[in-house]
Amino acid sequence: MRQKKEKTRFSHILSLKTGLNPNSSSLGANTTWLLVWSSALAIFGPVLSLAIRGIAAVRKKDKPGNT
Amino acid sequence: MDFRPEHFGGLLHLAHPRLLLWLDENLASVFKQDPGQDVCRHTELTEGGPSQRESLLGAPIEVHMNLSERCWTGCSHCYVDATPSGPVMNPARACRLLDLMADARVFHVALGGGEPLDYPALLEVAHHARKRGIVPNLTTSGTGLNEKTAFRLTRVFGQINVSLDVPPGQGDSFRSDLHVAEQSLVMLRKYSKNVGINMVLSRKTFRQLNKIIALASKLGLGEVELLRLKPGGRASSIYEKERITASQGIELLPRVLSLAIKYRTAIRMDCSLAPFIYYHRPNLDVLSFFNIRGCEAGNMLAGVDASGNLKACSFSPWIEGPAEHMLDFFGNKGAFTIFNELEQTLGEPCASCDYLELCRGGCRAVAYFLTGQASSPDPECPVVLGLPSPYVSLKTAMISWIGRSE
Repeated sequence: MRQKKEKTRFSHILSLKTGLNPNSSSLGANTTWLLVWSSALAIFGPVLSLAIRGIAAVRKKDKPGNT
Repeated sequence: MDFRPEHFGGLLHLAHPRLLLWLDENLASVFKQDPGQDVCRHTELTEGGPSQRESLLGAPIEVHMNLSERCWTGCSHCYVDATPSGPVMNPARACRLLDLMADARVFHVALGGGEPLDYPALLEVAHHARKRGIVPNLTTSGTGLNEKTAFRLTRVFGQINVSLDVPPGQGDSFRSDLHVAEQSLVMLRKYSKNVGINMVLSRKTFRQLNKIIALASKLGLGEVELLRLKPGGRASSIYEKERITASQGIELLPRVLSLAIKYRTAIRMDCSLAPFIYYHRPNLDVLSFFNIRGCEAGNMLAGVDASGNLKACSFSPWIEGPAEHMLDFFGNKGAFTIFNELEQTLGEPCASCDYLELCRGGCRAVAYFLTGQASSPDPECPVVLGLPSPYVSLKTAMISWIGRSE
């Protein structure tokens, strides 16, 4: 019998924070994102995940001892 | 690139672009060098803790450190009550505290005051932070800034914001040195694009919001950060007279978003303004993904005052202990109890609000000042005030219209 294919585990960026907060009293959320990224959210996460995974894979490969 | 393991996976800090990413376990595993060795402090410290807070990080992502509570400007809304003879942190102590933050793998430190430019060892402390892998950021009134200092500041600080509530010559302000602030912005902008304005919102300064954003755009500044007036220090005596009105609170988010489009400027809002954002019922997933959160004191955020006291945030009226013990507090569900137990202790309407997990009842400093209770809902939140949300009003009107037509 054909073995059931193992479900692929996708990598996810759970959330992100942009910029730096110089204020000595608050966390400082960039509300502009509400406007700009609401519609792009669906594609932005997976694309960034893929990019980071790609960079990490290259770095791993370049480490001495890894072939 | 800097990585810190957490119970959900890990935090990845990128310098260019300036991003902090929350990664799930699968993605974080790529960055973990030895998963067994580098476990999150959260799991070590919090076994059997009284709180159920699941989102607690192993350490804050940023700590706000007041190096000095000395200042000559005498702003009436100063929350630390800074005076020319206020306490100053010993530079050696500041560096020791930065070492502890580096050990806990805090990513950012916001240096403020008082007036930090009057702190003689400001650059040394900032360079020490850089050396230990922490990005230092700065808020200043700009008083005493010259070209040489501006250049040196922009070389070490990640982001520098100058406090300015009203454009010079445009009306009442909490401060008198508006031209100095504008000149400082021009000087700093010459050497870095990571310069912005901090604007404290009051019922008077709210009217200047358009002009401040326009000024930021004209000067080519990267961002404007809007701050809610907080009832601490000298500000407590003017708070009830100067705080924004309920209608200004409701108007805030639509106004900010339209100004962001008009002037193409990034506008940040501080965590205490979260209830005024959530009132408009934006998408929860978007808010969560972009970390547009309310009170994160004692979790993502911690504060250290010039006397070296650790607080959950700079405005917290409660001192937790000497900042030298910060490692015992970070990631510990038994610490910062008022803040970590909020989801259990907040009453209605917060308890049944869809935004509770993100908002966490609004600003504790405001709630405690106005009600005398640490776990009271923020009394200025439009939902707590019983003001109908435009979204809910529209939904109710549609349901009643559909009901009638049937």
